[in-house]
Amino acid sequence: MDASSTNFATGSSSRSFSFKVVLLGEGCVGKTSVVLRYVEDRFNDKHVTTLQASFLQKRINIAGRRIQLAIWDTAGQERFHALGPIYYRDANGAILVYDITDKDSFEKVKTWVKELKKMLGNDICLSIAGNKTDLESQRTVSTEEAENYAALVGAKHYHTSAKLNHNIEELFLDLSERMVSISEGQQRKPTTRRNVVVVENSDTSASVPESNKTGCCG
Amino acid sequence: MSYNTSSTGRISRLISEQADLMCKNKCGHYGNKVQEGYCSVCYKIYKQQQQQQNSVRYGPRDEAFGPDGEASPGGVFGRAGFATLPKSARLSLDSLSPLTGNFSKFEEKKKQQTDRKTKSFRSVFRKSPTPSSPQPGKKSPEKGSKEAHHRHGSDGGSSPQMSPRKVANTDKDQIRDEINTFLAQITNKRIVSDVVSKVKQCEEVILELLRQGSGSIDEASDIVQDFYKNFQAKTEIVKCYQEISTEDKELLMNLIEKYLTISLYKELFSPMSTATEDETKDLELQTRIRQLNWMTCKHLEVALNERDRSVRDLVYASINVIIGMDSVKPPQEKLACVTQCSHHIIEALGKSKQGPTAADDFLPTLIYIVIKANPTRLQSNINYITRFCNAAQLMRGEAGYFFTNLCCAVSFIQNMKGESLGMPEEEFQDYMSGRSVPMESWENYFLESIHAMEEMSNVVSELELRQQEFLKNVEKFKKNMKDKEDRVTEQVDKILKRTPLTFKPRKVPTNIDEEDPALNETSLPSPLKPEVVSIVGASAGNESSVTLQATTEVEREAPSKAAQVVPTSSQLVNLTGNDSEEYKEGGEAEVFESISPSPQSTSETDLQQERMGAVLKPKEKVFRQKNQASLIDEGSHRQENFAAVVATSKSAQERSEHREASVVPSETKEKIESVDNNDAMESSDLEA
Repeated sequence: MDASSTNFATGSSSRSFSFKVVLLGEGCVGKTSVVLRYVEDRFNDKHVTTLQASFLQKRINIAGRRIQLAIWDTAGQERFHALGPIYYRDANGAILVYDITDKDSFEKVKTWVKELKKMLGNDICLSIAGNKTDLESQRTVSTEEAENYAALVGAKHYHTSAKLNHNIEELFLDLSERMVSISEGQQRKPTTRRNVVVVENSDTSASVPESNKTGCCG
Repeated sequence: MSYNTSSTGRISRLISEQADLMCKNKCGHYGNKVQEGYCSVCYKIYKQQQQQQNSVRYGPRDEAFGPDGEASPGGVFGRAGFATLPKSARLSLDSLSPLTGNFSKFEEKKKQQTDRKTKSFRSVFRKSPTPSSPQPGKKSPEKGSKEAHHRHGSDGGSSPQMSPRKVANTDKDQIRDEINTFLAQITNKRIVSDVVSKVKQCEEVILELLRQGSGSIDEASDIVQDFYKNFQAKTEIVKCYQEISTEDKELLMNLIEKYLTISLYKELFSPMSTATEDETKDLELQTRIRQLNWMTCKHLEVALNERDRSVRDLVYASINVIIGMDSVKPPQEKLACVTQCSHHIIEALGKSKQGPTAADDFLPTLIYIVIKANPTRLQSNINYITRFCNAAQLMRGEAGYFFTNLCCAVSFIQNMKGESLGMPEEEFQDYMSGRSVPMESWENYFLESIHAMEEMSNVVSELELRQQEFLKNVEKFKKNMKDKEDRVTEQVDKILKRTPLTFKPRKVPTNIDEEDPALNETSLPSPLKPEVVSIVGASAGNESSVTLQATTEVEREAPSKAAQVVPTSSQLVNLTGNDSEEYKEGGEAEVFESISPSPQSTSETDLQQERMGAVLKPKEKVFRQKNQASLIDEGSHRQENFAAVVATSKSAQERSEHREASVVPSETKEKIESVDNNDAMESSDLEA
């Protein structure tokens, strides 16, 4: 995908990537919460700075590589299912979210994976997130089943909880690393990269006073 | 009236028969030429009939004139319609009753509306790419100026001229100026010439391709996209471009894109020659959306709270923006319209519900907005953006996301089935064909009026609340006023009750010190004794002189004592001899009598200021009198001592009486006088 490596200055050691990540998942699995937790570190918060969670951007830095993630939320309703291909055209990565308390949402993930594989082949990095681990007692999708399936389709499986901020950062970080390695692999062999440093995102300045505010309100 | 008609009739008697003077209606009255030979009564009736006829006759004809474009304003037309009438009638009709005036105004309005409609229709057709007759007269100077202005593209003769060419040219001129000013900032002329030549080359290639008719629009798109890509790569790799900042490079790319798309707009936008047939697709989509106009928020589960005015305003704003997308030319600007529309939607959704807007809410709302807006040539616009917007930019950032959503919305609209709305297919087809109308859409039809009604009822209820509050306040105020009134009357009563009883007697003591003969005679004889004393003093001049003489003698013996006695008070000096004892008793009694009512009055003084002044005087006087009394008291004491001293020294006095008496009295008299003066001054001060 050439979209991943559009902006880079030749000769300089630091390369910049811009990745498109689509977020797929049924209506109430908590897609929005996952993204907002990652980008703004908030959950069901009245102090969320953005009016919208449908398109969010985050800048991160992995081993000196500047990465701009553009996270595309998609409408999860069944009636819009057919529109999927328009959304994930040119996507570098996809995060498929399901609700561990909702078996149907996991079945839905399977259909999306099939579609994505059909459309984009192995160029796309897949991550499957079993969300709402804070509701472990109500789990209906077994961990084993989910993880086996993820391994089968070559996706990474994460148990996340947007509410408890569990595994969210890891989910995106791992996906970013894989996307970098894929896009670098298209040009040359990936170099060793382990040091992971998350650099301030563009919204930091706006969110700092907000967090102060929450502290005040208690 | 008959007088009037006869008097005017007399003027025309010379030229007309007697019969002509009578009313045309043969009512027996005289007619008037100004009133078309009718009498005033019949003329009125005639006029009314005329008006009715006019409104029937000229109403529809006027409308029929409207779309012709050469229609005169209603008023003028109205007058022309009366041309068949006698001139006199027309004159009077022109200055007719307000009814005609209103009517013509109404007609005028109607015509303006129809005119506007036809204009907008025309403008739609004008924009469509159907070639109209070329205008060679206009073409050549423009071409010349273009070449002189800039060496870019000499497309002039190749394509058929359009009627709104002028607009296109101003757009072109604008972007040309923009790109020129930008290039003027670049010092390296190699860049400038490179940019100009490359852009020109690309422009010509595309024109050549399209002129042949063989090349499809997709090929042109490929060329343009390749050009963008290559040029972008060039700016990053070629050495001379390194001296431009990244922002400037971006700006340059934008300008190039803008220039290319504006100058080739009519060739690239919704092209005729290709198999894509954008225009037919546009029409299909438009019809489809028109068929879907029965849809409401509920069908798509759109979370818009349309009852909220601000939300509705945002919805209208987003509709306006998405419609306006067709009127801008560069793909970037079209994209900006999509983005702005999306932002309005997101804002409206943010106001309708809690939390940030996710795609689950956004996409259905966008679909709803697109259906409500039914933007012109939507498919063409989408295709145009996909083909000619810099792909690297299109897929990057927010604009790309919202554009993708728009594509999704269009795709959804095109492929919508009953299933996707959660209704049986037959029902959906019924709605689509217009055989039946869903219940909710009635609300849709009356949406505006319902909203207006709701708003009105809101206002009314608000007003009602305010009125209630107001009434409550009025009641409160009334009560307050009544309370206050009661209190005031009570107070006044109290004061009135008190004052007539106490006012007058109180005045009496204040007058004590004034030398009112009536009062002196009746109630207060005793305090006036000092006057008597002064007489005594005068009569007993010798005696006092004797005492004072004694004082002087005492002074010699005990100067401190004498010094105390003499300056203290005039009374002391006056109160000499045997009378002093009497005075002391009587005077003291009198003084206390006069004091006794005063404390009462002082306790009541705070009631009224006017009385304050009046009362203050006695108060102070009382003080003074008290002082005096104490002084007298003391004085009498001293007097006793003094008397004793005098008695002891009497023998000595008697011896030296004859020798010193001639000298001393004059001095003592002076002293007494001066002390008296002082006293008088003091009392006058107090009264003042």
